[in-house]
Amino acid sequence: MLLYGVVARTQKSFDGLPALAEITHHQLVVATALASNKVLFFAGLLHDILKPLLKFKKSTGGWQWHHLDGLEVDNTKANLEKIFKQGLSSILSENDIELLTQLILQHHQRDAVRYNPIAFAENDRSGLGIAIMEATLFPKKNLEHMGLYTCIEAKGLIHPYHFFVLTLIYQGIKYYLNKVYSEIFSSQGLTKLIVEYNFGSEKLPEIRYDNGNSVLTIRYYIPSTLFKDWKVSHEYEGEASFNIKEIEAKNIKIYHSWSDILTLLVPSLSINGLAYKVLCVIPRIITYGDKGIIIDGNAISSFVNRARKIVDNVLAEIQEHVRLDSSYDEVLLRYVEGTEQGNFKCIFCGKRTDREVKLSRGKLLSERFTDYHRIQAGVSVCPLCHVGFSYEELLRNQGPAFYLPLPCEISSIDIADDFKQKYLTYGACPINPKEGVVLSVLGLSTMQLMSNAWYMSLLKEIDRRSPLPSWIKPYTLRAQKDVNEFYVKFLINRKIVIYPLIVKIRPKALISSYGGENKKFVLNTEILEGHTLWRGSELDVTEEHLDVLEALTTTLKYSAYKKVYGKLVSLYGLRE
Amino acid sequence: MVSENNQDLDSLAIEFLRLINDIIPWRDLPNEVKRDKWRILAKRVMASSGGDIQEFLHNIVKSIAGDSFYVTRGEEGKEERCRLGERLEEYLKEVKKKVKDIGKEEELINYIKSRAIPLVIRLSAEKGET
Repeated sequence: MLLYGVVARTQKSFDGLPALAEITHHQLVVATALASNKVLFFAGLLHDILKPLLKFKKSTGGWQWHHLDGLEVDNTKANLEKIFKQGLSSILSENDIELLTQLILQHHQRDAVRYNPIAFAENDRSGLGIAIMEATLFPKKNLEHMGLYTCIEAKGLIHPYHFFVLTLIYQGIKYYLNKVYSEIFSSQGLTKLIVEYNFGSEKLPEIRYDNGNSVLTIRYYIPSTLFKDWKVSHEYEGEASFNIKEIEAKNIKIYHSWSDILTLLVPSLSINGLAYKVLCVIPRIITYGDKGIIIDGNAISSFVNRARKIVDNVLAEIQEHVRLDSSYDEVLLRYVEGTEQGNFKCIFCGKRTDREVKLSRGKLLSERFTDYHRIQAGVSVCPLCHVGFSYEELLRNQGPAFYLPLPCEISSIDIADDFKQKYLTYGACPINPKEGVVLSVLGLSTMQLMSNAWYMSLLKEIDRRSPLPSWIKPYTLRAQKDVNEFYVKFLINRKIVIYPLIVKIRPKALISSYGGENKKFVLNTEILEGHTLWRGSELDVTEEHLDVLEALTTTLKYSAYKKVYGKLVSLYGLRE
Repeated sequence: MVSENNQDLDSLAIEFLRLINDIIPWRDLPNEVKRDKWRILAKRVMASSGGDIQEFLHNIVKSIAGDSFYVTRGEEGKEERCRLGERLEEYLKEVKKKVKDIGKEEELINYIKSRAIPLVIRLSAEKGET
């Protein structure tokens, strides 16, 4: 089981339908929109810091999640100003801290959307409404009016190669935008954010700002008997990529880049059917001062220009590494966006293309290619499939596995028993997953991180053997010595806690190639979905199989986990 | 965790493999087989078939050990020897009793065959022979 964090919101519908949004992610999204000055930025990062205490009360209007001043915590009344003065005095003046406290305390007042920038950022009716990305996958509002920029809208993807190329582009955009976010946050005094979740007793959160290194640490105490003594730390920074490490028993560290939260690949509806959008949160969009709250058009256009340049660079970089025609930079974008032209037909996907690609021996399909039953009649290859095929070849030659995590599916969702117990007297729980969970833009990114987390328990990053675009990372199966009880248990039971939600996931990934053999017999690129979680030469690992192994997770001793993992790899013949 | 509907099947399946593991005279088999016993067991379970659970068991044992098998075996921590024939009889009774709830024996056979690898991994962990 992986303890990941704490929920950020519930929906009023269906008696408290949960949303897969994590509290730090929510605060980071709001803070990004407010990153036009230090006070606003830190107010965004800290505006809900009492929420992880999970103090719900039922009133006539339904459940209220109390999280502002006056909240009684461990028999004392919470005083936010005191917490901020203790933690932020090395970066903000006394006046600034007073303003920050005031902004946070006001953000749920009636009509706050008119005068409070946090409320403005969150409110979808009269404000920006960026927080609505946690509540729905298809917001009614135009995404750009919500503070989200669409880097690319992909349409008409009909082959695994198409989705593979789109995901490569997304990873590239994410990588470079992370640097942009990092630069903007650094200019506001934040190079690293550390969030610690300490499960056990009820205590007020603590904040510490390290002026020398520009690091903000937020320490939450979550009242939970079920997960008593567990500690989970998140680290967010410009250079990090997603990873999970067990520091010691019941102490997990999870590394994120800023972009893991702020750059998203989501499905969307278009008149031509399902499309995909690469979205990102526009930083510094809200300014606040004497003239009140203003949406800053200059900040939007300056960010959009940078994002456009990033898209161009990523497309060029993708093309350079497989040395295709340099005109592919532009053509690739057209094909991703659903345009096709020409009279040649692609042998992989059937799309039309205006250029001829030689397929015969010694050309694209070498004499080693045998997967003829998976190609169609045709005389050429469309640019998307050409890039996909070439990358598959390139990555397989690098070996070992190359995978891109996709948002997981949710197999089951439950509420932690200790949380339910607290509300027994009410006869109902403030969070009710009976009808499942809200699928939302931010929820999909959480589900992607969940998938990623699961694959990290099976795979580890290896040093690249030859030049690849900077964001492409080859992985290999963990060796027996690299696993521990935490990884193996999580690999088997696939449960993630966003307290109080306990979610069992069905991980998904796009596999470009498995490594190990420098030859091409078959097309490798595929989406692992449904019940297959990883391919094996003897048998694929499926959900049902891991369910059978779950009986072991309560009985095994620490050292036996490595051996179980070794057996799993050898008996299934798991592919590297 | 195995779903509630499959709990009975799961406990019968793991007991089935325990029984097979005890019946097969691994000690008397060639070193190559002994070294790779769990893989061989998993593969034989996946490849074998049977009209009922007894025939399925017979076919698996035969495919690994030919006509030799144990009828008694010393039990860990106990002085007396366990009579495997008796255990098999008890097991078959248990299967018959539960067949009413779980459907046909065929369902149990399918469960064992389709989940042979994880069941074998569980057994090997239980035996401490991973």
